[in-house]
Amino acid sequence: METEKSENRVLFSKAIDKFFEDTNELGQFTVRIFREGFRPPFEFREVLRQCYIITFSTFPLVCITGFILGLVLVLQSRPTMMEFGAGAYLPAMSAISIIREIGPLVTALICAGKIGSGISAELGAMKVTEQIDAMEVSGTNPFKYLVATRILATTIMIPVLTVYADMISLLGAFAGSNIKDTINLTFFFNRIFESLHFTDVIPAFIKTFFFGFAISLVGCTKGYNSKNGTEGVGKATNSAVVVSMLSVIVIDMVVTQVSGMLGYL
Amino acid sequence: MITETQKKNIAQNVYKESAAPIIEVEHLKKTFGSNVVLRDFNLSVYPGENIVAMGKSGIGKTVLIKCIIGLIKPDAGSLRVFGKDISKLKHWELDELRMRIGFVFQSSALYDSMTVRENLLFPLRRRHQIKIEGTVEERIREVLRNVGLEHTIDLMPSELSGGMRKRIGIARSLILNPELMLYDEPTTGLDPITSEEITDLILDLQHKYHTASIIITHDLELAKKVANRLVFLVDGIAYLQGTYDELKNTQDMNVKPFFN
Repeated sequence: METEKSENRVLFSKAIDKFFEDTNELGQFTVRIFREGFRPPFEFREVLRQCYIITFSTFPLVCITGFILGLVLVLQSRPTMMEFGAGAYLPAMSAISIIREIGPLVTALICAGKIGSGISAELGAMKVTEQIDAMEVSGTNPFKYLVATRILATTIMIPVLTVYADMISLLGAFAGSNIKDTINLTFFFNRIFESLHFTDVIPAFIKTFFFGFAISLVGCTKGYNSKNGTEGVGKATNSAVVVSMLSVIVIDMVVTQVSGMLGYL
Repeated sequence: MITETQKKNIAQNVYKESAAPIIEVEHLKKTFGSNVVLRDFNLSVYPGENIVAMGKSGIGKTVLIKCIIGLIKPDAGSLRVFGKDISKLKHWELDELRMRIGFVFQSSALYDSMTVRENLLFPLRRRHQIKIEGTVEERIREVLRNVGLEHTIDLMPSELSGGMRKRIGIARSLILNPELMLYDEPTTGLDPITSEEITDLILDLQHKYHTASIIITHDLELAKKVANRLVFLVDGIAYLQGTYDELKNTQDMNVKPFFN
């Protein structure tokens, strides 16, 4: 019994150590990005290539998920809203839900799974096969070429993908509204734009930059620091997905709180 | 194809110790945790000289060449390459220095996502200020011809055999005309014919361009053919140095079993 307790204490202590080690690693990486990543010469070509890869790989997934979410949101909400005689507010409700929360959050979670894991696995594999070392000996700063470019590209492209996802989601909501009622597209979007304010759009848009930064930062940190061969790459990738998803949710909560304090809620 | 006699002549005549050393390693120390890998390691390498580093696995041979190119930072001691103290160089100065050094990785370390052409183009593009005679395409084809793999120019690394990957790795290191080559087990896992081709290539480089090399290997045939001097590592020090025959005939029990 006593031994079991002691083992549990050791495991708990190790978990705490690991948490602080990971936090320290992320902190050091962030400092290094601002110190090295944004100094000339800039890797514009690689940033553009990464933007293309990120958009190309995630766009279909974001579109399908966005459309279904918009459609399901309307189908699920409609009966309750009709019960309260608030059916006319369905476009406004779906627009505010999608633009403020569902669009950015779902896009970020999809990207955490798709982009975060991809970055981590790619950098991890490059690390264990000495490709990062090869890059360094050929006179290229691998941190700048591989890490800074991916972080910049993801930070730029996740807001763009979120805008796409919001639009597709709203179309899904329109389709959902037309299953039980007949509603005109112009009328539907007019109701949406009447109900939306900048205070709905701006904080939601700003937080997507943080989502992008966090997802790529975690993916790069885990991949770049992966050890112990292919097993280490697997663990790094798994950890990248979990930590980046958690980061997205924590950032979402913080931004919502800050928006509230600034009067944007 | 280089004949056996030519190989012997190259190995014996090119190295001239009268010139100033291009690498000076003094009292180098490197530890990983409690594991002391290099302990008071000393070595000098002269222009055009082929040094073969041998010793048991895990003795610190790869760590030594990674220290020389600045991939690993030594804990103590002095390491001068082309007269410059590696530990005191700024990042951009180290990059400049690395342009003069080629590094062949044990795993070849070709970029998986790029074709052979793009792999070779990468160091050229990164170092666009280097003036290369002829067009870039011609230069890529020339180094591929040197390793006998011009036909693989548009292939992906995954489409190449182990020996081909190794030779492309060498070609990528050669593309900037380095004055010093560092080879990490260039013939490990290769068939005797490909090993022979790589041996010829190392000698050819020494002959044509007067390139100095440090070659880490367990391949005695390779060591015999290319080494001007062998360095045998034991317990993190350069335990014994000499020609292949000197080391082969030594009665030292740390070295003798290796050659038997």
